[in-house]
Amino acid sequence: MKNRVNAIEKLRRIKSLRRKELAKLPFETKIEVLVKLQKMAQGIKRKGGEGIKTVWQIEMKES
Amino acid sequence: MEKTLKVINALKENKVIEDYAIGGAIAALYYVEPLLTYDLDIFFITVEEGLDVLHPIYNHLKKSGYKTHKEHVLIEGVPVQFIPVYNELIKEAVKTAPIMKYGKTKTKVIGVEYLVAIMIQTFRPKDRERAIKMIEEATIDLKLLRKILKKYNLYEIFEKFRSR
Repeated sequence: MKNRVNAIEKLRRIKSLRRKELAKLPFETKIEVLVKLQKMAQGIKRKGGEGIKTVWQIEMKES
Repeated sequence: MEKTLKVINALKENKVIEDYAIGGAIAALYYVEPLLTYDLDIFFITVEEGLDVLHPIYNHLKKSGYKTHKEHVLIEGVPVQFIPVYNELIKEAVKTAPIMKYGKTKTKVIGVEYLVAIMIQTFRPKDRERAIKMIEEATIDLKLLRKILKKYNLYEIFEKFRSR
C-alpha cells in the first residue's frame, strides 16, 4: 500500500514538473500546440454547441 | 496569429481604440501549459464613451473586409472577441499589461497577477479551474497579487478559495 502511495505521489510530481516545463514554451509554440488541440477536438461531439468552435486558420511558422 | 495582432494594433494606431491587451484563455496560455480554447479575447479601452462602444471597431474591420460571426470578428483566421473594460480592475489590468512580442509584432498580454485577480472576480467554474493552473504553473509575484486583491476587495475570496 505504501509503495502504491509513493508511486502515485511520484507520478503526480512528474506530471506537475512536465506542466511547468510546458508552461515555459515560447508563446508562438503554444499557439501551434493550441491549433493541434483544436484539430484533435474537432472529432469530439459536444453538447450544447454554444459559441464558435473552429480551428484557427493561421500560418504555423509566421515571421 | 501575427497577422491578427497586426490588424488589432492598427485599431490602436488609427485611434479606433485607446488601448488593448489580450485576456482570457489566450492570456492564460501565455503563462501556463497550452490549453484548448477557440477565441482570442481582447479587452480594450474606448476612445470615447458611448452606448455602442463596439460599433467603431466592427465598422472599421468591416471596411477592411473582416466578417462577424455572432459576438466574434474573424480576423486573419482567428475568431476575436472584443470586450470593453467593464470595471476598474480590468481597466488597470489593460493599462499595466506588459508589452511582449509575437514573432516580430508587439502586443500586450494582461499580467499574470491581474489575470488571477480577474479570475477570482469573475469566479465561474472555468475561471476557478484556470486560477488553480495559474497558481500551480506560473511564476507569480504574490506580493503584487495580494496588493491587487486587497485593492479590489477580493483577498478574502482568494484566501477561502486557496485554502480549499
